[in-house]
Order: sequence, then structure tokens, then C-alpha cells
Amino acid sequence: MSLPAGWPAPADVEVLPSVWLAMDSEWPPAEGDRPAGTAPVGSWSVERELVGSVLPGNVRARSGLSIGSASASIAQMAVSPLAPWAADPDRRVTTGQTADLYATHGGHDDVARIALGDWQVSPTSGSLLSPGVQVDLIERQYAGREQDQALPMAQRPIEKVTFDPIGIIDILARQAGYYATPPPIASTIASVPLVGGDFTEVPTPTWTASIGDWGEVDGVPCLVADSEPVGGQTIGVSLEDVAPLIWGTVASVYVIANITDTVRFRWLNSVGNEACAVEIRPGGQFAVRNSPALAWVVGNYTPGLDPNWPNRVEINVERVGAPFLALGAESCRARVRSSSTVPFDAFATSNGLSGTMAENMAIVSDATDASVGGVQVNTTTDHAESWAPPTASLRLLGGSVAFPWLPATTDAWTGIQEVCAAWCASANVTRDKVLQVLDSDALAGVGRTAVELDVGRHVEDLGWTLDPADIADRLEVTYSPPSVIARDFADPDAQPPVVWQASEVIRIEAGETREIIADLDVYAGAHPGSTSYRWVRSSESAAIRAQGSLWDAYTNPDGSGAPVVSAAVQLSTRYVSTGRAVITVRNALGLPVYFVDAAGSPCLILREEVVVRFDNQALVTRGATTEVARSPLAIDLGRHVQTAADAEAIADYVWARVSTPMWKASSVRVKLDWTLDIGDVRHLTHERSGLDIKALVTKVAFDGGPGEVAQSLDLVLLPPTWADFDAAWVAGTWDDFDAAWAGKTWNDFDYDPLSTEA
Amino acid sequence: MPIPTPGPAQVSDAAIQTGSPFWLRINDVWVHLEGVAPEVSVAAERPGSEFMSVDGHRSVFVAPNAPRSWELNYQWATPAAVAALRLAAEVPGEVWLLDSMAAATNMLSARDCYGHDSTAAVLDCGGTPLRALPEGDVASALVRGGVPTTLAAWSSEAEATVLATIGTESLVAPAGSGDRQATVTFTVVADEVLTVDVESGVEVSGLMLTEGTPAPFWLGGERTPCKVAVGDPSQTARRTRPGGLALSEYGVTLREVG
Repeated sequence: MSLPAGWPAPADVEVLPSVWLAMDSEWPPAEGDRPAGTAPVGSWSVERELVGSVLPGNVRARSGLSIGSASASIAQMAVSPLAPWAADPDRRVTTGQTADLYATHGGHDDVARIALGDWQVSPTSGSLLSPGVQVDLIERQYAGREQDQALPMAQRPIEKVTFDPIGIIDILARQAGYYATPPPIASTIASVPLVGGDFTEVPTPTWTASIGDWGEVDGVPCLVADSEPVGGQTIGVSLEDVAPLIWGTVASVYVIANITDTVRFRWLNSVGNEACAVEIRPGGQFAVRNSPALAWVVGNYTPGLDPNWPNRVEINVERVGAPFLALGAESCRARVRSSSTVPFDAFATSNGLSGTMAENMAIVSDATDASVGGVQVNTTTDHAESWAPPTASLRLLGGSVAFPWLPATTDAWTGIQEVCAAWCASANVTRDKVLQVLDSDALAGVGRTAVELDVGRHVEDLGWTLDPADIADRLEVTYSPPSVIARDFADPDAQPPVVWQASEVIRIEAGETREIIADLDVYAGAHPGSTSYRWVRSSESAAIRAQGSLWDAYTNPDGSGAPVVSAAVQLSTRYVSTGRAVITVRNALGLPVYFVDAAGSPCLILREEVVVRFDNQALVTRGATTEVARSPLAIDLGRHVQTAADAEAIADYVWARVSTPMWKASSVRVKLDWTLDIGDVRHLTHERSGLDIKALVTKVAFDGGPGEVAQSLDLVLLPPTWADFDAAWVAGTWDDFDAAWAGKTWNDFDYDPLSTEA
Repeated sequence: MPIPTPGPAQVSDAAIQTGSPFWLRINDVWVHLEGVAPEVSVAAERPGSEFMSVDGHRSVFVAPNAPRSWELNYQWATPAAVAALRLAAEVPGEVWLLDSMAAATNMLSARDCYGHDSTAAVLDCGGTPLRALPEGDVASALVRGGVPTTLAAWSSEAEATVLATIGTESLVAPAGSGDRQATVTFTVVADEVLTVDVESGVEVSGLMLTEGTPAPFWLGGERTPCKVAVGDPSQTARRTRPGGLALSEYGVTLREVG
């Protein structure tokens, strides 16, 4: 984090900035040019912490959650005090509103400011005698958690590309309002972020990517060319029912996407025949054709005009004319621009017949350096939101998740933290309100420039702690490999697997329509092209029963009497998330209906063609055997880690960090440095004590008052990584290495593995 | 050249006669504090802290403002002055303190008179090098109605260039070359808080707002008038004879607020 323009450079004598609290409220009242809700702060404090699952102190308490907190006191008003009972709304204290806390050198409206977090007002307190009102703050994302549809992606066909774990985080982050690619706008008819997963944000849910790998371009995860092309294609994404490119009047759509190399957007009819297509090519060239039979018509645009999105383009595609009538008036034209603030370059027009309507879209490529991400299809243009800078900084976590699953009771924030904890990553919101996910490599300091921090000059004292709780001599990592259970299609009588079944008798009153919440413990998948299963009566033949979910109903709870006629009961299923289905039941009879079979047993059984169960557990171990281990550490990665390769990699990573002691320094008072934030890596040096290591900043606390800001940090030692070793020996040979280490011992190496001196 | 301190040159005759440059603005009316003893102690409290590193390097942090306190003592206070002070102490509305000697020097806040951006141009403001101000509203002060007031600043802009505005008045660069003082004198009808708005694209610094004629060299801001909290006057009663005239000594502390 760098200082804002115009902010004074650090010096031996510094004038401190003023700190301001700006709340979304009418109190305190406006004064002068200061708007209502904004007030200078007297004393204040901020504490924000980074929690990572293998950081010292978190190893055996893998909560994965950290809630930032702050407080600020503002001056009480002398004549008519701020109080919860004040008659004036601009003096009546409220709580729960969002708030900004920031420092400036030039008043409340100075743009050169340092944000101190993203807050929500929690308890606010005062008294008749106290000269100030105390406003406590908690990090905004942890206030008011909503849970329901955390992962709205059940029934995803099983042949699609697997998710990178960051894809799950992206889905959850977007629900929490943090966007790694721009959010959809009011006119968006399709939004596919492709940030490590083929989740379709709008319309939802459909499934898109079939060909491609997950990669990163300009630091943003996206779909990149598959190293093993399928049918010559390196990228294949399909979007259904999102392309209103019909004829008649001008039909116009705006496709916005981050693209590298050559990527083709195809408009298709319902059976996959191409109607028209636009191709974005390297070097500011694009091409359009109104039929596969026509030659490409080439146009040009100026790429890279948006500073936030150097690879983003907006394609305006229009079709004019009438199909099937050979009037010669049909055309498809396209124009492209690379920023929302510049006009489109000229149209390129492809004249000629195309006898095909366009109903679906496909994004394909055969180029080896192609990538696509942040796709939006809009029906209007000139929306800055479609080019908004990212509010989430996400990185691929490098795993493979075929069946993303979260229980229905998990809210978005808990889900993000759980996924991060399983993959040894961390998530926090920066002071500038950007969701930042640091992967395990980043937390190990790999590839991150460490700014020097001279302990002797900038640190008050360095107290360290070694805790045996952070060390283990045996590591047990358990994970849940998924078991895919599919109906046997070869046997028409074979029954599909069960997703959920009622454990109690369900009574539906006469004429009642009820939504039954089914919380699932399995992943309900689907085969390609399959639609939602229908409900069939359990007394039907095996061949009919094989086609759906089962129900049976009687007017007596013990199943006696005549069964309810099938037409009197209507059932439908809606999957709201991986962990929850909603079964809507309507009883059209004039009597109560009980969902039981003839024996009186509950009979409402939700089934799907493919069900993925997670009831197997696999174990990966490191270190001593169970018999001799004195300090074993068990880690359950749950259903987030699904492959042996990923579990082994995580076990290696964790073992490297818990097998040898790592020290931690807590509450280290440092000279005020506004650029420091949690997740930063600093290179600590202290010549007198021989300190020369990289450390991760895991906590930053401020305690401020008039003329004083005390800043303290928690620091975690980062052991050297192979990347550090490579950097130390860049341009060196093994002979150099042998010469440098001749006559030395492993103890010497352990002490300073990066030494390059003989 | 000797460095002048805020002196009596521009002080009104009335103030000289009573020996007090202090006025209180209570209920929008200026009340002269007559009979203040000659020694008034003015203390500025700048909050600050220091940081000492493990190897003994010191850093000092200070707050941008240093609010002042005035200790006024009366040996022979006039009844009107005592009444004014008691009123100000008992009704903590908006009370302003004017030091007319300081107002003849520079009424603005010290930090508002010059720029703080270390990359801004440096101007020679009558011998004192100061950074150029940023554009926009940079300073404000309560200007007394009916009192001729002058805004002055230094700039090297070409003659007739508008450097800044205050109220309806414009500060215009005079003829000449190099860094030179520009002034504009005006009188407002009633007391009014006026803001100095620096024009865009000009380099100007060394703002001075004075009652009367400003010095030809830059003098630091005294921030007067300023809002104050008036403490309850302390009284030492000296009764010369029973049943006779009661005489008292008074002391009061005024604390700058806002």
C-alpha cells in the first residue's frame, strides 16, 4: 500500500494527520462545510488481523475468521447533546450504519486520504457527563450475515471443467459485494466472471465452460487456453438463451470481456448452427461475418485504453435485415472499443445472407495464448460499472474441485473463510475496501517484494514467542474424495440415487401449497442435457420410477384407505444452493394429505441422475507414527479438498511449517508507517543481533489520540522458500554453491540456507 | 532587519488608553475587556508524542494544531468587563476573543498561510521562504464589520493577475517583477466569516489578513478572532472598610476551542 499523492513523506518530526469518522447518518449535525454524519475524531483505535490456518497461533485453532474492530470518540455537543432520546434527528444517536474512518492532512474532504478500513457502527455509548460519544466499529462484512443461497450451483453437469477453489470464493465474494471482475448492470443478460470457475452469474444457474484451464492474466483469474485442445479448440464456453440477435429492427448487444490472443464470439441457433460471429484478434484487429459461408470482414480498434482493464474490450454487434427472405438487405456489423470513456471505432459490416436465428452464444478459441474472463452481455452501453476497477483481489489457489459444496447454513463470509482455511490461504478486506485473498505461496512470502524494515531504527523492541502448540511431530490430513453415483443407463429399470428423503410424515392441509426445505448432505449433479427430475408415484412400474423422484400420499397418516389420486398432488423441485433444495407441494384435495406409503412410512424421496457423496474419508500423514508421536496435529480439510494430489500438496505445505518451530512477535510497536497493512511481507534486518529474515505482518493495530498515533504489529517468521533460494543463487552454478558451502555442516545450512558466501 | 513581534503600531487609541487589546464577542456584540493587567500569559498546547527505537533513534509526532490559553488578571476590573466575563462563562454559546494587537499582525491560522506540499514552488515572502498554496478555499477568518481589513500575499504572477478572492474582493498582482506583495483593503458592513479562495493556476503564498495596514514582510498567523471557552472568573475580594466599597481582583482563563 503506497501513500496517496500529496501525503508528506515520513520524517523524524512529523505532523500527524487529522482522523475523521464519516457515518451514513444524520448525526452529528452538519457544521460549516462539514456534512451531517462526519466528525473529527479525538481518540481512536483500529485493530485488524490476518488469520491463516498454518500461521503460528492458528495451527491448532483453525477458526479461519478474524473480525477487525475499531473505535472512535467524537465531541459531544455542549448545548443540545447527542443522545438516543434527542428530539432532533441530527442529534439523535443511531447505530448500525456504515462508516468510514480515514486520516487526512487537509480537512474532511481532502482527497489525499488514508482509509482505515470498511466499518459498520456497532455499540455507540456516551453519558451526560462525558465530553464525547464513543462509537465502536466492526468490520462491515461481518455485520449482518445472510445465509441461504451461498453456492447456488446444484445440478451442475459433471463433465464441465473443474473449479479452482478461487472460483468458489468468487461466487461467495460477489454475493458479499466484492467483485474481481465488474458486476452485472441492469441490462445484463449474461454475466460469466470465469474467475476460476464457470459460474454463470446472470442468468442463473447455467453452466458454461467445457474447454479450458484456469490461469491468470494481469493478476486476475480467467479461463486460459487448454494445453490439451478438444477438437482443435483451446477454449470453449457456451451461454444459452442470451443472444437476442434477431432481425427486423436493429438488434444490438454489447459484449464486454477481458481477452488475450484470438477469441471468437459465435451466435448460434438452438441446434448449434452459426448465425454470425465476431472475432477479436491481437494488435487491435477484429473481424465479423454474418454466416460461416461468408468471408471475414476486418475492422480495427485501439486496444488497451482502460488503465484498470488493459485487455478489456466492448463489442457492439448488430444484425439488420430479414432472414429467409432473399432481399439482399441482411447484414451483421460490429464495432469495438477498449474503454467506456472513448467512442467506438468504425463498424465493420458483413453483408450477405444468413438463414439462421441466433439464440445461444459460444466463446471459442483455437489460439494457444488465448484467455477470456469477466464476460458480460448487455443490451445497453455506456455504463462505467462494466469497467469498474476490481474490488476483490483474487488469485488462483491451484487446486481442483470437481463438486463445489457448502451446507445451506453457511453464509458467504463463512464460506470464504472455510475455503481459505482448507487451502492454507487467507482472506481479508484491505483498508481500501478490497477483498484480498492471499494463497499459500503468498503467505509464505513467495514472489513478493519485501520492503526493508530496519528493526534498530524503526522498532521499539522485538519480543518473540515460540509456542509448542504450533509444532507437531505427526501430521494427519483428512479429506473427502467424492464418490460419484450415477443411474445405470444401460438398465431401464435401474433406479437413480437418492438426494434427500423425508424422515417424518409430512401433512399438507386441504388446498395448501407449501415449500418444504430439504437440506442436503450430498451433491446433486446431472448428466449433460438432463432437465430437473419429475416427481413420479412410488407405486408406478420400475421403468417409470427410474425417471424421477418418488412420492406417495394417503389421506390417513398410517397409509390406510385409498391412495390420493395423482392429479390432486403437484410437486416441483428447485435447488437454491448445493446444500438446499426447495420442494413445492400443492394439495388440491379438500382433505389433508399425508406423504406416506401404504405401510405408513414417510414417502417423499428426492432423486437425481447423478449424486456425489462425500462419506469416504482419506488420510494423508507426515512425520512420526501414531505410536511414537507425542504432539500429533490433525487437520480436516472437509469437502473442500477432493483429490489426493491436492491433499498431498497441502500436507507438504503444512508439514514444512509445523515440523520446525516458527517464532512469532506480538504487539511490536513500530515507528508510524501508514503504508503497512496486514498481509504485507517485510524484510526485517537488525545488524547488532544478526536478524535478517522475511516476516509476514499478521496484525496491525493503531491507537491514536491528540498528537499521538501508536502503531503495533504482529509478525510471523517466514522460513526461506525455494524461490528465495533461487533468488539468492541467481546466475550462480552448482560449482559456486559447492565452493560456498565446502567445509560447512547442515547446521550451518539450517541457520542460513540462503548464504552465498564461502 | 529586526524580527518584529506583534506590536502596538495598529492598536486603536481606545485600546492604548485602557491598556488592553482584548475584546470578547458575546451575543454578536464586541465587548472591550478594559483594565486587564499588563502581563498576560499565553500558553500554546501542542499535543505530541515521541517514539524511541530499540537502538535509540527518536522520532517526534505532533498534532497540526496548538490551542492556546490566556490568563487574564484584573487588579481593578470595571464592572462592565466583569459582567461580560461572567456572562460568557455562564452561557457557553459562541464566544470569540479578539486580540487587536495580533489582528494587526495576521488574523489567519498559521498553517493556513502557506502550502504544505513539499513539491510546491517556494516564494520569497518578504524574506521568509514559503511553499505556494494549493488552489481552492485555503483559509478563513471572522472579519469585524466596519473595520478596514487588508488581505495581503506574495506572488510573482504578472500584473493584474487575480491571485485570490475573499468575499466579493479580489487580490490582484501589482506591477513589478519577482515575488512581491499584493494587497486589497476592504470593509465589511457586519461581522462575517470570510474565506480566502486561491485561484487555480497561480503561485501565491504568505497570506496575511490584518486589521489596518499589513507589514511589508510576512508575519505568521495569530488566528484571531478565535472561539474561546471562558472559565468562571476567580475573585479575590478586598474590602477596605466595613460597609464601604468592596474591591476585588479577578482572574480568568480563556481557552481556544474549535
